[in-house]
Amino acid sequence: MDAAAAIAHILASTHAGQVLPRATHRAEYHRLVRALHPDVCALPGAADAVARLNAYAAQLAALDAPTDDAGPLRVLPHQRLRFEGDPALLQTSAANYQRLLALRDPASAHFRQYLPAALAWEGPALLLTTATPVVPLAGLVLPPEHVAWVLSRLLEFVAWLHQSGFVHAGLVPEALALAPATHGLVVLSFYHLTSLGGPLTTISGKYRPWYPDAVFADKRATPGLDLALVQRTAIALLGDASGHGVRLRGTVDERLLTFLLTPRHNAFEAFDTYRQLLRRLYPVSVFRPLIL
Amino acid sequence: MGYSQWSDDAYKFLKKSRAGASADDIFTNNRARQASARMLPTGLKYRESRDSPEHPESLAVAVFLDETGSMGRIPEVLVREKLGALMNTLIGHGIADPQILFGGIGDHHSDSFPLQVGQFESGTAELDQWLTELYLEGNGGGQQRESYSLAWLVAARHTSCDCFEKRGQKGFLFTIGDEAAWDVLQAGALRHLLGYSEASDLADAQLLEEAQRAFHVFHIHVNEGGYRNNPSILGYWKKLLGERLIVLDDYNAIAETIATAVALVHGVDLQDIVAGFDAATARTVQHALAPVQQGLTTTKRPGGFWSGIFKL
Repeated sequence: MDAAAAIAHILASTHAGQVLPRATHRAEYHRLVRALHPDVCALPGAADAVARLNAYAAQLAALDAPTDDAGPLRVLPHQRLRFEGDPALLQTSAANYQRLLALRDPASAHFRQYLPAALAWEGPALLLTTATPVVPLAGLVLPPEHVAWVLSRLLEFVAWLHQSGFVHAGLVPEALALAPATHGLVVLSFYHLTSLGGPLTTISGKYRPWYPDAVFADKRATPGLDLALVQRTAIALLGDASGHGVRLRGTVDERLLTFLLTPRHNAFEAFDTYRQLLRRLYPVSVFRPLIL
Repeated sequence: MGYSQWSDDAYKFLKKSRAGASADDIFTNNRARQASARMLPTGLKYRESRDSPEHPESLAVAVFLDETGSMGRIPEVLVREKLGALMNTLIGHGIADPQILFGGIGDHHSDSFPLQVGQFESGTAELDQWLTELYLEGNGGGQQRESYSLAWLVAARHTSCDCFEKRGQKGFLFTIGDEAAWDVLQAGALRHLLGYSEASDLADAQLLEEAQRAFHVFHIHVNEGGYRNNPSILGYWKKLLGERLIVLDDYNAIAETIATAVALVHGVDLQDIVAGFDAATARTVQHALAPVQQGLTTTKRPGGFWSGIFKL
């Protein structure tokens, strides 16, 4: 794309993702600025295009530095994320991660790919490494065909977690990352993880409205709680950040929307129902590359 | 919807204009024996409650009125006397921008129009218009059951409200009647009523849980007439809703009861609210809402997207 075409493309864009890929936005931003900055490019519209680029870069940089339940976290090069929040909460998350790593059954070996490859302390910060490059899910909006596989992974993960006797209780966008190349999912934090059916003492403050009423009444870690958060996260990923979902009516397949709005209380049944729905929504299974 | 403003003067004018009018003069669709096309749910996408420069902190309040038999008195009392009490009590106790949707509920087994749905409104004329556009079918099945869960379905799957979507603050949903709800809405009825291309049977408990995702859900049992203190009906509601069942001994206090319940959840003291009512109304509302007050976790900041962790 020559400079004139790049300027036209940038000025016609409506959101950052049309110009700067999420995964490589820094490098792409620098490449475009070097080519289009008014100091080196005399074409009309260059200044406006660079101003738009700056705004997009700022938006995407903010997505690389989200705040989760413990505090700030940073996306670093080389498949690393650094959690810089409340040390006590980070300790809890790391300890709960170790509880999951300690599971030795064959299913748990399979689901280890859904967990960070390693956690290490860097002073008071927690450094997380993933096996493949990942993009935090927070702030992402994806087409339904990609939300389809993300939701499948989430439900599968929850089914395993519940089978293993745990409830995550914090499966919200900031706790998740996607591996675009492999259509993988990595769960990043475990602040609220507890025993299935046991007492629940903390939840995500930011996502308090996403939790079912029963959580506040009974204060117990039920299967329905994780499933509700997974449904809300999928709705956010489809474009309704509130997790409510009704305003997606008309833009998202009614069958998928109904699945997401219907309360579920058994992870295996939910996963099974969803797999049946997927076969109806996508009769031909095709790997669709996710370009962020 | 919901861009216009409440005006006491406009309401007084409307009330005065209705002096001497019969119920059928007010609810003009009664004579046609036909629900308004605008309130029929077939093909309903969603009703919206939105913020606006006039109403920057909109709060969605959906009120579904039983349109069967003797319950038709309640829409009438709202139109003739109590719409002002509803709005003024809300506005006077910190609910600056209430947006109210009125709907009608009947029996999906026996009524021609068991579900009617208005729009969320703030203005006097608009609120009055939707109320008076209700067709009070006046039948009911005589089986101690009505289709109140249709209101939960509408709230859960067919409303989009800025209070929840922007601020994480739940809206309010009130159903009002004197019977229990049917335990199932059959798939066929849903296809027929709402025009769903695909549907499955929906249980009352499921729909309630769905509605509670974005609404504080209450049912007001009008404890008068043939079903007064009926243990089967009260037991049904108590089991489903617990302290969110409001047993009201005098339907004339319906507006104040709704507004007080909303204000209570928003952390306003019950005594402060009822101090503005006449003595009889204050007694009725206090009696109806005492269990609600005891069971509610009230807060000055209901809902909302907070940071950090939340300790239960």
